[in-house]
Amino acid sequence: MILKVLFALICMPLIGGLIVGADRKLTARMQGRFGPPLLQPFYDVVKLCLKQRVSVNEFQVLSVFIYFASSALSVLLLLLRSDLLMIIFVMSIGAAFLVVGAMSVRSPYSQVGAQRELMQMLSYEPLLILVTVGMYLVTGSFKVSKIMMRSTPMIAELPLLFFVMIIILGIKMRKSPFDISASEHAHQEIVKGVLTDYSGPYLAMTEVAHWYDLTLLLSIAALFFYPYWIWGIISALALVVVEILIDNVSARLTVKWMLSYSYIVGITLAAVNIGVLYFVR
Amino acid sequence: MQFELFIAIFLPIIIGIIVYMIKSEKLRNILVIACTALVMLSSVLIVHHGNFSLEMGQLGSLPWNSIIEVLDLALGLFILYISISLKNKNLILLSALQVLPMFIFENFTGANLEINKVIYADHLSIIMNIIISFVGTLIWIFAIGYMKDDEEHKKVYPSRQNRFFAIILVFIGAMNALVFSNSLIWVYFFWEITTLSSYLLIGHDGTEEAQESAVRALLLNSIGGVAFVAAIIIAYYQIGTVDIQKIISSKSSGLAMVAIGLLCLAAFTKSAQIPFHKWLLGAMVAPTPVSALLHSSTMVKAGVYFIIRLAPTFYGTRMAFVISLYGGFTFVAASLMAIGQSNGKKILAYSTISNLGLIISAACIDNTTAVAAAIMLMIFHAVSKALLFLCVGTIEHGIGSRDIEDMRGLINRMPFTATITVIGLVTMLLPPFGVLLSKWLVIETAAKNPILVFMIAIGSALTVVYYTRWLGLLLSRSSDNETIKYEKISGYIRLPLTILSVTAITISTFITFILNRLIVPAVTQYYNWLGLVGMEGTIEETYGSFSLWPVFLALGIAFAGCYISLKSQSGFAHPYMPGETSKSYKVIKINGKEDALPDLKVRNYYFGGLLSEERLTPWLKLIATALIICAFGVILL
Repeated sequence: MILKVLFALICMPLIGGLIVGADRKLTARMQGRFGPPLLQPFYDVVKLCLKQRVSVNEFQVLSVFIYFASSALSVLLLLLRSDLLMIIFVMSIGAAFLVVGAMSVRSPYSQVGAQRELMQMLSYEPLLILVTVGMYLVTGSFKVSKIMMRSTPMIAELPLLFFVMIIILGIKMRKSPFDISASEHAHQEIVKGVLTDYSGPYLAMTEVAHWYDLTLLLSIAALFFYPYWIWGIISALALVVVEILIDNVSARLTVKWMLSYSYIVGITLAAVNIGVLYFVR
Repeated sequence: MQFELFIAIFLPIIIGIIVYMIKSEKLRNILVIACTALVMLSSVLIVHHGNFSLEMGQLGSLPWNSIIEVLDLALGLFILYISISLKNKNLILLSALQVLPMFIFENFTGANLEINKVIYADHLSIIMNIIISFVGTLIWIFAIGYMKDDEEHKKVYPSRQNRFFAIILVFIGAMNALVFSNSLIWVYFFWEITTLSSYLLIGHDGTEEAQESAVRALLLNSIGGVAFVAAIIIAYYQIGTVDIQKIISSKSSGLAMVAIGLLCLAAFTKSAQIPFHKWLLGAMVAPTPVSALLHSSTMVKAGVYFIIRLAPTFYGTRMAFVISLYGGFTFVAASLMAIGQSNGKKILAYSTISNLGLIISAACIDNTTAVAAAIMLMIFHAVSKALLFLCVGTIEHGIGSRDIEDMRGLINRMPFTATITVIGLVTMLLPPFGVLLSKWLVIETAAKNPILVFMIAIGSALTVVYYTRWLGLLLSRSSDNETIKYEKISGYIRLPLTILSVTAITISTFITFILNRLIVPAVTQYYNWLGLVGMEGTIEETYGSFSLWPVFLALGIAFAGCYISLKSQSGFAHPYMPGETSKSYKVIKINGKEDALPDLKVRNYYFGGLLSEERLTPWLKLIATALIICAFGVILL
């Protein structure tokens, strides 16, 4: 139990950080650059932590702490094999507070970023709920512990929902073309969007929370392949590579496009998959 | 038990009548406060006592049944009189359609409407009684402070507060009576009292807009009234009784199911479901305590209460399936409309409609756990929504606007009210608080029905959007903002807001206790099986579980971390604004022509063109009507 808690709270974000580092390296290579070292994200976070601690107001600090706590808790709950829907709801506390923190700042960049982040949430949340519903329809339970009692991988029955995971991951991780609420580089029209007014240790906290979120989503993706967990890890990493590829070949699109894309393509894929499951049984 | 019932039902009515006649404000306040204390006490005693049923004998030499029949006739004639004096043809027709059939049915058909246990209190009634007696009465207290301000604002002279208080007191008495009545005739009578009270309250300000909204409320609720009368008559001839308990235990089919369907239709109008939702949106012209009452503990809750009450009769039928889809549709449609609003009261109104839709949907899902979730949502929604309405009313008096865009940075100007509003919003929006927990239960139980679960998934994502941005707006602050430490408001307003906000948080922490003590027995009494237990802060059901403590713990750690971090923080920075605020950028020269730059302005996304009420409402109404027709269609198939 204690080992699991430690693994969830310490190792999982480290894995997330490594994936982000690999992402930066791979992205650089795709763009013909050499790229930063693999451990660069960790250097960044350490450096940010050593900076002066300043915020614009109290609510921003509260928001970032809640964001961090709920993201960490959702990963922990996953490793403790709790209820998937509960995990998603816990993650959504953090997502909501990230928006609240940005809205509490009277800067147009944070404000616009917050509005857009809300639209990102509106785009991926229903899809994420539907993924858990699909898993429930296959396994008869929302609990990860029950889901992990299966002897055949769910991917056989939920292939389309795995594609839905690609959309979710892109939107949640704010990868192009969904880097709408916070741009990767701070020299674009919304600066860093929802993250603009965080600095120093607080910015480091949002970064680590982001790693938690990343590993959470990848673990859910890996669950599709349980009990073949090696295949699960391979496909989760493949998912990351696909995301990086999409990230590099596409440019940012509009909120409206994202909403219609996730609702038309994402919901249709989920509907077909869940519909087939429903009528076949 | 008679004594507690007397206090719960008759005391508010009697004090209401006294309050109407006296002019002294002091005496009125004392009476209202005393009545509040007694009604709360009676509710505690009733909970303590548990289930009971009573035969109501006679008052003097008159049997109660006859008294109710006579009063019912008088009430019907009064509403008819109002309709005639309003010269509204539809209203006259609808009122006449209630009075005449009811009169003929009661007096000339020789129908035997006597039933043994006229008063029947089970856990569901007791839960409703707690909601009404605590939330409703706190709204009275709030009204004492609010109405004084309100009349000063609107320059009402002579004071009409005696009328106002009389009606809200009677309203609560009638609601308590409604939930304990076991005869359809009695329920119908109190149902009509709530309709009449809401008509009088919505029109209280006497402006043209208020009058129009009041008439609309009366009209739409009269449709429900006609459905109710038809249901009583059909139920009597098909099932042979107007005893609600007997109707529930009889396995209805065919025409008897039509009666149940009509009762549900009446409940839809009362709960302001699409397509009957217009009256609840109009109701916000009334003074805030009225909106709070209508939206939380009375009126709309009567509708969903009645559906949960009747749900065992059509559990698992095709009609239940269609109604659960209908509720789910209302949930998502009303949430969608709420996204497009910036008027705080309208957002709350749409949110009420959508939450009630979810309650109705859950009550009709083919799973007993969902019924428990419906009751749970009813409790938590009542507390948080009452709180939010009272907050918006207080804010409106403070800043003169109910537009959420004007509430930007309210925490600096009205720290107390803004904090309470934040609590209200968080308890509506986020886990581990009750409303979200109920939604979690509904999604898990609805998962077997793909269409429904799609609607609920989208609807709950929409809910997050319109509440989160409101939350963010309230909490906006920069280091150069002037802040007020202590907000001056009347104790009559401060007290109910404090109690309600503390209640909203505590009932969520004691959710397993409430679940085991009240909700589980309320469900198991009518359904043999319930796959839901609450223990040690964990809600376990057949397909999943939700543990509250880790979430509370994480939130606690976050608060503590924030506190420590702020204590040693080096200071506050300015937000990142490279030049936007600089005056010299305000004028630019293009091709030698000077042009003024517009002022910087940031607003929420409201999707004005896409989500306009005028454009969407007809379509939503059409789909909702089709679903209702479908619900009746599947009975006859």
